[in-house]
Amino acid sequence: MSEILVECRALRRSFGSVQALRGVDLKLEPGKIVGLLGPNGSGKTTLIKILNGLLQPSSGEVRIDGRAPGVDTKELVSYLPDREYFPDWMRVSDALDFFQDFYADFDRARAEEMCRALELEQGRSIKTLSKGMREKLQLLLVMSRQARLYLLDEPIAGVDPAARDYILHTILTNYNPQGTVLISTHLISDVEQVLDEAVFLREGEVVLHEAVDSIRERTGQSVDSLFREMFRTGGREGGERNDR
Amino acid sequence: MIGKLIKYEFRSLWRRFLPLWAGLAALGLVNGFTITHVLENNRIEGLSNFLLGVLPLIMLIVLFTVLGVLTLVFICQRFYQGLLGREGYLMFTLPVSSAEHILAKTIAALLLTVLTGLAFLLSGTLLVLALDVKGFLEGMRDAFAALRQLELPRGIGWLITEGLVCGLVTAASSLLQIYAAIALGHLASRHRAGWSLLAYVGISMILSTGVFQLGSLGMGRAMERWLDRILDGGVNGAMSAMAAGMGFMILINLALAVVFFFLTKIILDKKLNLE
Repeated sequence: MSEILVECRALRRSFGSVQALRGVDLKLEPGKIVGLLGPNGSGKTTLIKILNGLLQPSSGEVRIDGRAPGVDTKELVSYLPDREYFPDWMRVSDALDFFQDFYADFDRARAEEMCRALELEQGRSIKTLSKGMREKLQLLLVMSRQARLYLLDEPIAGVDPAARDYILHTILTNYNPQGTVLISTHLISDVEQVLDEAVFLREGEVVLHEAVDSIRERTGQSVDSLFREMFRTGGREGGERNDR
Repeated sequence: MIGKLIKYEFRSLWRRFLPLWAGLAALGLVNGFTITHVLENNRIEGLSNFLLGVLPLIMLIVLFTVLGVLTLVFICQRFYQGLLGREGYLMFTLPVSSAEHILAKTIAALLLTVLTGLAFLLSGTLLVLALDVKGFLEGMRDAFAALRQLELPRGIGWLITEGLVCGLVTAASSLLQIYAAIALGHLASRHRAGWSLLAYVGISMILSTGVFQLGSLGMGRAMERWLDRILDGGVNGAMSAMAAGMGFMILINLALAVVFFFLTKIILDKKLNLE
């Protein structure tokens, strides 16, 4: 397939003297599940924020379906941030109404079905839900959209193994097959099974972008093993030390 | 989309403000009855009369003040938390432009201010009504009768409309100044509330300096001539002077509102710095 859904060219972003992205070149095709893999501080969240228009790049170019990030591209992108974003006054039903009002591609019936499966009452105030339940609510809303691009920032960080299974299952069974899912994480072994492609990000640079099958065939090892090998040197990647 | 944004702004404030508005109205009514009781007994000595006559009045004054302050705090909070705090991750990924976000916040804040003003008015009306229903109704009837008989000068309707527009534009400009200050303050990595306050004071100082500059450019003499027209120009002269004065105020505030709006928009578009 030659169509390009996401294109970044020489993308740079600095925060003061810190360079979070140092000339990222990346092309993503539709219909793929892509892992954006890198240790903490490698620039994953910065890249995702630029893709959905929350941050402006210092230089370089970004295109989503041929357009610069803006109001038009936000209709195509379904974003799960690495934090909770619902206001305290909302009930579950308010959150459903909100997504239905603002996103034409939101499938309310599917979202309600997932709420029922989780035994999540629509009258419940979101702030009274447990942290895990609030995260699941955000995920099910984001995955109930028939989006062209899903940007999921650390969806499995800090959750127990059962919740990880639920999250990955929800992603796999609900995403739009014509769309692309970009999952950022440093917990590679958990997501490797669902990925079509892997992008390794180190200190703001793409050091590898390859199909997962190709990686296994070429190196004879799993993506997780290759990642550990590539990022072992220097011990700079604090987030990875826990995984070793 | 602006309508939808305003709808959710109101959903967020109903639960907080409805009880306060209702409480204010109820306290107005209660005060009407208690003041009547005290006046009929002609004394406020003794604990029971103090509790009955003075305490509800103190409560009403406190609630008036609290509601006024709370409205202002809520307006600032809704802009900061709703757009620049964690809710910003939800709001800025909607297919909505930053201009629509700013307009929706401004319109919702204006409506909230008007509704709070109406709650004050309702509370005062209920107090007077409870004091003397018959007298109040007779007074209203007499006032309307007098208004009907009064020969109103031509153009008074326009003047009143211009006054309302002037009030709205001035309020919108003040709100947008608050938003611009908060947007400037959010650029700091720490102590954002403090920086926002400093930005607000800074903008106000620049505006005051601008007014002094206008004075030195001959506006002082123009003001004198304007006041002369109001005081010595008869009804028509005073009305045309007031219309001109309000027109000038509308233009100035409109210009300021546009500057604050675009300053806020540029910061949100180019320098968004979510927590």
